[in-house]
Amino acid sequence: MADPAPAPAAPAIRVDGVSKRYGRTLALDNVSFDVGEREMFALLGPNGAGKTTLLHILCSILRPDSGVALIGGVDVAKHPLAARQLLGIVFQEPSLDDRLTVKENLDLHGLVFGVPRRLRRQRIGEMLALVELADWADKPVRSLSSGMKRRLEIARALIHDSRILLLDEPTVGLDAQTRERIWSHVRQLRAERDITVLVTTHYIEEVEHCDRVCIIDGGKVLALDTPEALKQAHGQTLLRLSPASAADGEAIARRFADRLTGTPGTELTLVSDDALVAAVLAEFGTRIKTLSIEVPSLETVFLSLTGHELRNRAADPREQTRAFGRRGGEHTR
Amino acid sequence: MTRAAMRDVLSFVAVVALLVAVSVLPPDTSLSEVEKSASLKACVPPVYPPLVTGDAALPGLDIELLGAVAQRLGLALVVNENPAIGRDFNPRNWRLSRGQCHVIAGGVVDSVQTRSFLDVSPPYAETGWAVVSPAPIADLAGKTVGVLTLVSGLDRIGLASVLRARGAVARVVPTPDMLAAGIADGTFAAGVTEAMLARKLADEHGWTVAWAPDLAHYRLVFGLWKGDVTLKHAIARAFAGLSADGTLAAILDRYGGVPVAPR
Amino acid sequence: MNGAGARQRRSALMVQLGGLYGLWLREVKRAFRDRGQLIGGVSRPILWVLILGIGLNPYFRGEVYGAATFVVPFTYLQFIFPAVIALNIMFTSVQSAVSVIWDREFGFLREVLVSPLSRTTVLLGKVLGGTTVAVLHGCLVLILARFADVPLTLPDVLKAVGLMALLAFALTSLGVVIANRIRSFEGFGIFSNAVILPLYFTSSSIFPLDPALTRAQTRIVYPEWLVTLVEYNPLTYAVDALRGTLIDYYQFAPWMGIAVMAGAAVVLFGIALYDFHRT
Repeated sequence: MADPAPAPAAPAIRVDGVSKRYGRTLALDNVSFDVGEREMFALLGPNGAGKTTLLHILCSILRPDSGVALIGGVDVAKHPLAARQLLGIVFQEPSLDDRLTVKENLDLHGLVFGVPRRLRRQRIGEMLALVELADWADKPVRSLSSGMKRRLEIARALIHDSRILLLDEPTVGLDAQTRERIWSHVRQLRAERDITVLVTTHYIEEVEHCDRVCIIDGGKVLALDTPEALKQAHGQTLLRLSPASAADGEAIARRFADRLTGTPGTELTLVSDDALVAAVLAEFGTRIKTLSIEVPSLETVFLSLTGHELRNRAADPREQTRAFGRRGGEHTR
Repeated sequence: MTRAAMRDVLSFVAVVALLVAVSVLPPDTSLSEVEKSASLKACVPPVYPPLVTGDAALPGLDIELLGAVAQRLGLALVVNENPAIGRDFNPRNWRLSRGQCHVIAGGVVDSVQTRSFLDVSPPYAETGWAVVSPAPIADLAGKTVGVLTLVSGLDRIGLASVLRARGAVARVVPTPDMLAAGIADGTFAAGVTEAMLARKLADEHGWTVAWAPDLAHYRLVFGLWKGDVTLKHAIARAFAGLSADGTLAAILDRYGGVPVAPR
Repeated sequence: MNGAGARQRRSALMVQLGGLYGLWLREVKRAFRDRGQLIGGVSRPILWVLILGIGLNPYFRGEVYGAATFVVPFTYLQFIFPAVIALNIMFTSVQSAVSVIWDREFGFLREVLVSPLSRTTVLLGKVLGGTTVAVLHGCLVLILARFADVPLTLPDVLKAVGLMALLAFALTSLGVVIANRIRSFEGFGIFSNAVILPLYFTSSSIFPLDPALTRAQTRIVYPEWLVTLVEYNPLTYAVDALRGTLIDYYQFAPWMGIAVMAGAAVVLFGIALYDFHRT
């Protein structure tokens, strides 16, 4: 079975009308988007939004109920083996083999993906240098920290020279410094290699430097655009001020009643734009103690689109079993 | 080989070494018991030529062999004669017990029946059923045949069915003398008994001897109690030494024993 | 630096074989580094052959020539020796199957399932790896052969290793079949205690059915239900085949062991394959 040749200038990833139902829950509802070559694309949404389901469909673990998913022009459902060859995937939970060393894990990946021996050795050396794990080549993976394991997994995903990298919540459970390091590695990878990256995450601050962001909630695509465009379209500038006196506060509140938002108290919050800032300063400039301007952020974009914050959830049974296994379970690993 | 692989191999080798060390532990106390008393006790029939003759000058194949083995092990040989062995076919009636002897000799063959009760030493001679007659007999049909079954472990049932199939009439006799007498005076056209005894009779009276047809050969061994593994290994080593320096062959030769055919 | 051309030159079969080798190697390496399993693989034969064998030997030897409770042409230690091999194989095969549960939910199996390897290759790699490790553990028991007074010749050993491999393959496949259906580790522990151990002990592994006596007499010595259990247990024939090869004592027809194990291996692997392709 020869690899079907992709069409010229085809998008790296194309999702077209994909739906997936679990029992009575509709996990994905007619989701469509394209990811271009060399793009850094983010799927933003809370837990349970359908991000992981979509990712599993893209890497051919699940089949969509309807719609089609194309990786490099190859239909994932029809030619899963060929599609997988083009993908590098980093799952949310680490899927490294704890008992093998760093190099053995990479070697195994190479064997499994059919990379010939000399090429394998070469690439392992390169990737270890790239993610700064060369010193740990012969150490068992068990002895690595979570951040290092994540870096190793990203390196592993590229051993077979994949062109499309799928990262499922890559920085969950890591501290801020490690998160930043991971992202800097990803940026470096993009600079040095010809890869497309699709990231799913629920950390809003991390998607600021992506090329495009797709906001997804409840299985539906709510918005898809560059971060700036989204902020402009849906973002709100907020003006937070504390008045010099209560009387001044009431005066401001009466004057800009239509712009008032949030709960009234010592601080007033006004939905604002540049014109309003100038107006407030001009009319009440001397009667304001402090004033701060919140520029549109994706937080507010999300809020305005979905009407709520990113949800939190209790540990599900899988996480409980994982914790059980972590504690030593019964012949777990 | 990477360091990790080296560690793997080493841990496996360590495990194997541990098991090898365990495997050389003595599983029982039989050899140490024997060495403590500095003597090897053997139960034998009083007379069963050529294995046990009762003659001091030429004591018998088994006695000489036992002596050689005991000497190799640095032990004295103590021979317990048990008259029941010569008289009765069923070993249970010999009432041999572990207290009386460590080794049973004088006609023990390596067969499934023997191994059901005893363990065995390495074999030293071959035997089986043999037909002894004044002149070679081509056909046993209609002939009266004397049968002497003293060595337990040979297949009596097999012998009976072969004789019946060939149309011979079998008469059981209790002692070698009666068998010889029967052949000499013509009551029996031939006698069937264990091969070494048959050869002895044939040599004495100038008769011919041949292997009985259609029946398996057995190997002569010493009987050892089951579970006396250390003693068995020591005796096996002694046997190996005796065959290596030709002592075994010499003893066999003296008594006309047939060496074990290679399997 | 484009490897795509090189990849295409490698045929699809070579890719599958390379992946099979990688998965097999992973299983073997993991087993070498699992100290608990190595210790178990050593302690089991030591405890059974060394302690149990020596301890019970006097009760099964004859004290008077011609009088024995059971007329069997071997010692008790020789009798249980092949069964201890089967025990080691059984434990090891089942343990390697347990890792399927972990691998599937959180670990390595997910990474393999999104690789170009077919499901068949993945399963075969797992089962062959488990078989190799189980056979190695079985061979550990062979080291104690001199202690148990079981004489080993090269043809015997080769034949025994072949039987071990067949048994290990069947048991590992069985383990994978069960692991695919059990979602948690506790379930597997239940299975292990409620099924595996009873299966082992009713396989005529530690007591012979004594066909030296007639069949009628056998059923008088042991209750009928026990004899029936033993005869219907497929493991009985596997242990019997091993025993026949090593100490030359068959309780059932020699070909039955091979037939039962081969049949079980094929059927169980088929079921495991079907399950794998379905997920």
